This record gives sequence, structure tokens and C-alpha cells, in this order.
Amino acid sequence: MTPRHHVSDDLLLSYAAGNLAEGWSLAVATHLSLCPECRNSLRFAEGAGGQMLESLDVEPATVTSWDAVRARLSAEPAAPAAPAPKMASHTGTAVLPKPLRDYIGGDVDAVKWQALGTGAAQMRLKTGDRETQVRLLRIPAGKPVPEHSHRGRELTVVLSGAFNDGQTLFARGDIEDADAEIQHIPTATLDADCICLAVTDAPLRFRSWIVRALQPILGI
Amino acid sequence: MIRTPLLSVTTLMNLDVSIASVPWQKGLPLAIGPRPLAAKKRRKTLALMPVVNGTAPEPNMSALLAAIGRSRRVEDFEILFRHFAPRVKAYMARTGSPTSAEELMQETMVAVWNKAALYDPSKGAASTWIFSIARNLRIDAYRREKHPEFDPADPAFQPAAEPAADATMESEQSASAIRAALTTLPPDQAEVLRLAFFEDNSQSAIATALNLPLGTVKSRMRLAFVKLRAVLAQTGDLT
Repeated sequence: MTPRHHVSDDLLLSYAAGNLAEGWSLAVATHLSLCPECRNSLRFAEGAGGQMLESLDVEPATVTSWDAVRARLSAEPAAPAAPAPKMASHTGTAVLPKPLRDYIGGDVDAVKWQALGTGAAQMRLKTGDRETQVRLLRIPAGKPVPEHSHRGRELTVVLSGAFNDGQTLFARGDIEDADAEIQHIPTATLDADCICLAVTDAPLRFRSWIVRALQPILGI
Repeated sequence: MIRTPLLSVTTLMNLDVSIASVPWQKGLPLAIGPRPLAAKKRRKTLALMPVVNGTAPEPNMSALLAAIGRSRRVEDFEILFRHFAPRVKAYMARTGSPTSAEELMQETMVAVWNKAALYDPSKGAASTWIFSIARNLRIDAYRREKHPEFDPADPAFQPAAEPAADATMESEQSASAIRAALTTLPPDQAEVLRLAFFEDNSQSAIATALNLPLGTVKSRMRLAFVKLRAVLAQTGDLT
């Protein structure tokens, strides 16, 4: 089954342009791994980049440039063998898509969960940018994510299980794009724990004063 | 769009006429007049050079790049280099010094050479592929960040249910449809795209630069994308 909730066009364009901070890009790449439809859209966004590259006014390349590159061609290692046939062998299985596994150092069994005290657990992921906070979250079946709002954007990608936010169901691969106005209570469905990637651009601001007081201690 | 019978990937694979033997290799900029070629050879040569809107034929860079991946011919790569290197350098120069732009351009073009065998023309034009390599190197060099990307060989990867209808579409045709779509964008949308793609501006930086609310920047991007999609849907490239 393919996702029903997709990356917005403006986010996809920013990702294609390469000016989306690493944390947001990780959420987009995770969704793209699971969503053929958005991968198709991405081709056109990157195609726009390619055409803009084509349209730049330029001076011809200098002889020096070519000589320098040419000298490196012989020195560089040979090209890798042609890629495997298109239908890559999907022999193995993985819950977390590769972009995410690269940050965790493995699949779900490699996640170093840190209890949140509310029954939920998290693992913070480190990126090169300073504007996002990236976490893998595990919400127990039937339990809500602690009630929260946030100052900016929040992207959530479901990786396992599912959650409801109001009347809307988010399942594997779905991405929820919430802004500051939304006061929402995502709640894991009853059948299984929900694991999702959550990227925010500001520390979360919890409504409950107890949770807010504990925020620095819990590291959320 | 009228689908001219350009080379399919399979045809290209079986094409044993070396790209290097066609006359435009040494003849840049390309002559417009007829070429003294044997009829058989001539047909193949023309197939590599789709005429865009009646302008002078250009070597099909996508076919050329794919051929480089197989042949590893430095002579072919030089043609590709002369076309793309100045563009990549101009792209890099938008956000960096001329020295670093030259370095990053060289870095990009060497990567293009090394990875050429991985280029799949059915996935997009050469310009698209080279743009993405340049973009990733720029992010790495100027922001010290990564650009996480999906990997089709990933066991968690969700493949398309059936091959997309446009899986075999000609990348150059699609590229010219995109180019046409871009020229129809209203100036305010084109400006936002330019700032995003070339000046390495985040949405909020664009909002500040243009003194616009963030929501307006987002909606201009979305409108631009809708327009891009609409034109492509008309040409039958995106269903």
C-alpha cells in the first residue's frame, strides 16, 4: 500500500532545490522511499533545476579547467560496475528506510530508546543543521503523543503502526505537515505501537505545565 | 506532445555506432547544414540530435552521458564538459567565491565522470542528473550538511505498483516540456524558483528578501509546481 498523505509541493521544491535544512530533508527522503507518487513529482522538480542550470548565461569553459579535470580522470578510480537490474533484489526486509537507517546505524532493533515517562520513548538524531530537532518516536498502542503545539512546522512520517489525528488516519509512509496553528493530539491506533519520525523547528511547547516543567529533564 | 521516434534505452544499448564517430564531436558549435554521412549512419546520428523548436540541433546530452557510462571515452566526456562545466561553475558561483566555484565545478564534473555508468536516461535528462550532483556537493561544501536521499536498492523501498506509464519517456522530450513550462511562469513565481534553486535561499530567507509573508512564498512555489504539472500533463508526460 502506498501513502495517502504526501509531501506538499513547496516542501518538495525546496528539497529539490537543496535549500531545505537537513532535518526536514530527512523527513522528505524517508517519505520518498515509501512513496512512488512523490518520487515521480520529484523528478519534475529536479527537472526544473536541470533546466534552470541549462538556461544560465555562461562564459565558455577555459582550457585550464578542462586540463585540470582531464588530469584527474585518469587518476580517479574506474567507474563502479553498472547498477544491478532495475528491480533490485528486495530479499531483505527493513522497517526503517535507508535514509533513516543511516542516521540510526541500523534498523529498529538498533534504536537506542530513551523513555519519555509518558509511556512513549524517543531517540534523538543528530544532523548538520541547527534549525531542526529530529527524533524517532515510539507511541504505545492507543496512547496519545503528549499534547503539544509548536512554534513552527512539524513533519511526522509514520514508519510502523498508525496514528489518528482528529478524524485523519496516518499509516506507514504517510507524512503529516502541521504548522504552529494546529493544536493537535496524535493518538496511536489500538492495534500496535506507532513508530514515527518527528522533525520540528523549535523545541516543543507542551500545554500541560507538568510536562513543560519536566521538558528539560525529559529532553523533549 | 508528438512523440518523435527517438532512441529508446534499449535501442541505445544496442547501438554499436560509436558516438565519437559522429561529426558533431569536433564541430561545436554545431553546423546547421546537411552532413556528408552515409544514409544509415545519418539516421542514427539524427536520432541523437532532436531538433528543438527548429533551432540548430544540439547533441543529445542525455544520450551522450549514457554512452559515456558505457564507453568511458574521454573525447565524449570533453563535449559534455564543454557544455556543462561553465553552467555548473555559474551555479556554484551564485553562493560562493570564484575560486571555490571553480573547485566545486571540477569536483562535480569528476563525479559525473566517475558515476556516469549509474546514469539512467529513463529517469531524467542529463541536466537533471548533473544538477542533483552539483546541488549535493554545494550543500556539503557551503553548509556542511547532508542531503538525505532514497535508495532504490533499499529493502524498505516501496517500488511503484506498476512501471510508471512514462518510464520509457524520452528524457530530452520531458526536459523540453519542463523548459517550456518554466517560460510560462508569471514573473513572481519564476523569481521565487530562481531564489530557491540558485541563491540557496530557504523559504523564510526568500520571504525576508522579498519582504513577503512566508505563506505567500509557499503558495507561489505551489502555484509554480501546479503550472509545471499542468503543462506536463498536457504533453502526456505526467499522468
